[in-house]
Amino acid sequence: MSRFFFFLGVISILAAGYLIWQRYSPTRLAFNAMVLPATKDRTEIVPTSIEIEDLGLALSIISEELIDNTWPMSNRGVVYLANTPRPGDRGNSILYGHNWPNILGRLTRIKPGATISIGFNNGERRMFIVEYTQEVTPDQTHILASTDDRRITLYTCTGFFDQKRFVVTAIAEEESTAFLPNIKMIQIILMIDAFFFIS
Amino acid sequence: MRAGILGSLLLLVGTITPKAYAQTVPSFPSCSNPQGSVKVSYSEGTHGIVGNGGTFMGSDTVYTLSEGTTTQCFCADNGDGTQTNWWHAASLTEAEIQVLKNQGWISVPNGALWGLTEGEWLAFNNSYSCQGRGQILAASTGTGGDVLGLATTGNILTIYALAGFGVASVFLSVLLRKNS
Repeated sequence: MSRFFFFLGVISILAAGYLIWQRYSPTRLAFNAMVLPATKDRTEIVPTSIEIEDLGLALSIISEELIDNTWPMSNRGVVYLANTPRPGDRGNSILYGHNWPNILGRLTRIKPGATISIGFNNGERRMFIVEYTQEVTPDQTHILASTDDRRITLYTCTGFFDQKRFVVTAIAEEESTAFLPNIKMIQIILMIDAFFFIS
Repeated sequence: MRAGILGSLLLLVGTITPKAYAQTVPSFPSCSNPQGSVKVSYSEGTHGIVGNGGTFMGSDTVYTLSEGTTTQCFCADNGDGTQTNWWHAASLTEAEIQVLKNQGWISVPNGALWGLTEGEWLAFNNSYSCQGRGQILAASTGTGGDVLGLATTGNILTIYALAGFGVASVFLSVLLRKNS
């Protein structure tokens, strides 16, 4: 009987150790190991990466839709709720990541004014400026309500036994270099046109 | 030793068990995604925070959620935000009010002094971080989803449970071996 409890105890401790290693292991999230999300349409533009320079974070984004009212989570990066607008489109784009050291464990250190960069599978990038950070309880679902502006709501778990959620609200930069024409090029073209017009 | 283990378990359960109220506390949205209609808004100026004797410089917007609930979103110039949830106490008994005061709610005998209707109001302050630029957010256009509540809380409880169970099992096996 003592042997049974001993082996049971060792197995439990090893299982706990594996789960702890899973939270701290950085190599599991290498971009060359990232699996691109399967999309019905190969031309569909989806977010694939998120970078927060102030926190030294560079993570992959996995797109997941609600299935039977359940949002599948991932141990390999940040999950984008595909039922919400694409990051940078009008509305509230929702992203979540575990508060593990190798995912969003450092998110609570972010401050308003920080920049969040979201990359897409077509090579484009959209920038967002953090406007608010707040700790809320899981029942405060208003944080995910749709909006008229172009924002992302990025959140993770926090507090004693992960009873609360740390929420970051970031608004899209007014001018995105990815989706708007290059302003300087337009100015040069206008100057050339003006030169030829005058001459 | 048994009493100590039982006491620890009770303390743990008490910590993670949600508190029960005789009166259901209304749900208040967050200032980062405000709901309701804008009652008044100031992009700058000097403002007071209920329960805090000082005055602060920054933006302040008050959203009316319902007849008896209001949310005030203040963002100081230094980026410190205070969300004050206002709840009209007309329907509450003295005992319920006392319970809520013990939970951190502040009793305001006359809401009219704070731009609300007359009568007793309860206020609860939450802090948040903001940009401090005086930007006023319009109220949200849609309804919230249940996704936040559905998101998993991670596996930290599982880790603690496995580790605790493992240590207890090994300890038990040592005890059994000693007794035999």
